[in-house]
Amino acid sequence: MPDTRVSLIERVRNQDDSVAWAEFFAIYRPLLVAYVRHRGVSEHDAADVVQEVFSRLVPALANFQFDQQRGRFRSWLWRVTHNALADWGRRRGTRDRAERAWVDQRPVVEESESDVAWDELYRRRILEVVTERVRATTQPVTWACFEGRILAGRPAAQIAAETGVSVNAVYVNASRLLSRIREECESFQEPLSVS
Amino acid sequence: MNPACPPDDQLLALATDEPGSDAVCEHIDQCADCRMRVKLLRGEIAELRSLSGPHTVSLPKTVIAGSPTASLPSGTAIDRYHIVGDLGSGGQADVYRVIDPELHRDLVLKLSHRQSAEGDQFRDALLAEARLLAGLDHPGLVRVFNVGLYEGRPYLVLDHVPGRNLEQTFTGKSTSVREAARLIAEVARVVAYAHRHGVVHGDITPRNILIDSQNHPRLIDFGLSKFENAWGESRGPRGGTPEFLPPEIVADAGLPPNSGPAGDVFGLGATLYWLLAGQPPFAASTALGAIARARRCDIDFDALKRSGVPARVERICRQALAAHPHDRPTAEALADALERASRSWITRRRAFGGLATILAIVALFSIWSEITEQPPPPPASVVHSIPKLTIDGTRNISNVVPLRTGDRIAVSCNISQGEQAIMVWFNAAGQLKQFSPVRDVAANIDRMVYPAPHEEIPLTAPEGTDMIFFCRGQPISESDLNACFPVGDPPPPLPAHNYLELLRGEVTLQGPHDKLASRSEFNPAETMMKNINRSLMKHFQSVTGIAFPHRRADESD
Repeated sequence: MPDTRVSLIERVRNQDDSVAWAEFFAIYRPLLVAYVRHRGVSEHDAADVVQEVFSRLVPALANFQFDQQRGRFRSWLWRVTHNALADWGRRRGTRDRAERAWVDQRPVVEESESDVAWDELYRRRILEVVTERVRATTQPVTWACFEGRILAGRPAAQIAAETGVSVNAVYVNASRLLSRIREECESFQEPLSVS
Repeated sequence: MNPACPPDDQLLALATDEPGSDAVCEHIDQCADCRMRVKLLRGEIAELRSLSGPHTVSLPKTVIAGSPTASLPSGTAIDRYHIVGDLGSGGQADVYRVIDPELHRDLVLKLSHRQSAEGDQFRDALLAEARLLAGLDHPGLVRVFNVGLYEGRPYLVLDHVPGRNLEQTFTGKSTSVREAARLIAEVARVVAYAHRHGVVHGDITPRNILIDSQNHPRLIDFGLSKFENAWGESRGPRGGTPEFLPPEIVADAGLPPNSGPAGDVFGLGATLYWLLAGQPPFAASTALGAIARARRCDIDFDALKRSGVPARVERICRQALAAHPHDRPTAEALADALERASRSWITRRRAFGGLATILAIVALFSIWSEITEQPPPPPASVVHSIPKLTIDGTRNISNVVPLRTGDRIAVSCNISQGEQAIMVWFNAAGQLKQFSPVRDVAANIDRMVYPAPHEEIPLTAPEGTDMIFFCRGQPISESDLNACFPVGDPPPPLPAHNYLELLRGEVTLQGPHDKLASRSEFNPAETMMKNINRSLMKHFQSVTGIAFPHRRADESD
């Protein structure tokens, strides 16, 4: 795979690569917004916090060592986000109960810590990006087979009738896209299979 | 993977529950690797489905009022809450049993079907009301812990109160007048508390009152019926339950759409009437008939006399059921009157025994076994067709684990005519007990049940992990049976919200996967179950089984 996510992060580390940075931003910003909103930050403030996270990411990425361990970047990004969120909460004082609870709750962020909501949002976002990427580079009929059978669980015979391919072809198409999605997920160190 | 193994696309049919080709099915039966591949594919598809589609991180929220939504699988996280069971779906909301991993506490989450956009006035009103509810704190209420939005759908997080509602508890059973008066007096106090905080319930019926494990009533769905479009189950025109509707609700135009405090008092009176007379005040065979009676406030008070209700209690009931809202007492006054009545009456009729049964969730336990002699279909296509432990005959076991001492259990197993089966219970202390199930030829299902059709037995101590097996075939000697089990060896513990299912030689973990249960937590129990199955299969034609966590009645999860 010439353009893996690993290389995207490598490219982002080279701070001159604005294309890579834009891509990185497009992938991770919605996730960060959703997450800080989930932690009780208002919509208005969320943009500030996320901005703060990104401004920390630039220098922090320089020290980040990408390895093949699953979820490594996910937990690293979580830590950066959390530190930014905690600092922001402290700066804001104890104005809001949610923020106060947040600051009290996590004075020190441990290396191995993460949280379930983050993991869920992160995986969801990666899957969303991956699925969209595959969809955008696939013939509509092929995509319809995958979407209908795998995502929507509609009967293969029905999809076959609508798209004018054989039932077998529905499965072949679905299987091909499933394997592409699997590969793409792998490139984010987020295997599709959760086991 | 050997060269004879089919490619992924041929396994995909099985992994998505469509029939595969005969050749593939035949191969699958022989090839453990391919069975594993199907399982992995299933896992991937489940993951794709749960993480993609409408549940996206960046998609703008759209308004889809009342759109049908598929129920979310166990293990799904709604913010920090993890679904561990599906408690059913009302007209407008799905109800899930969830746990909060931070608090380790059992909760109920009601997720509205209505998806709403930012700035939606309805949504804002709903959330504001729900926050008001979250501020109410009374032992007679079910505590609202949290309010939020999930994918644009408002949700409420409530305390999980194991118990049955009045309708389930008292239908077809007689109640002592004293017990009825005590229950309604307690509920009236709760209602008075809420009215003082400016909150009206709007739909007080036997269905919305739970009896908790201490035999105290709890009012549920509080104040939410006002927002029946988002939370409630539409049970009649303008919400409410026709047979318990205050007349002002169904009267002609010119009245507010929602019932005020006096409507709640009417609901209390109607519930009292139902407990005493054994029928709703506006009993009718159709909803329209009930509404017609409600309009005329046509209540048969003689039914109370016929049931031997003391005149004083009848009078209280009549006042609460007055046709005009302003003729009814306040909730507080109703509670006072009922308490005074029961006090004076207890002194006269001391001998009257109260009904103080501790009520627990009735769990109907249903294990199905293979009933045909044909070769078993490939595993991929059978997984969805296996009914599991059910509650009230309809719900899934994942809603009731961990079972608790005192829960009532019925076990059943489908079987062909003329076949025999024994039931073996390997309890939490590692003791073995053999039971003879009874044949129950109901409808078109021939099955064996224990203890008897429509009967249950209470789950007894000791607590831990229980295993139940249904073995199809001729009974074997006690010593042979004992040799199949590690007698004296208590089954290893299981995570509180998971159970193991043994079907066709395979032991599978059921309930929330991965996120909540790590393998090491259930591996030892799984191994024990597999070993038992292996031994039993030397004697029987087929074995099905289940292993479930069993806790003390007062133990929290």
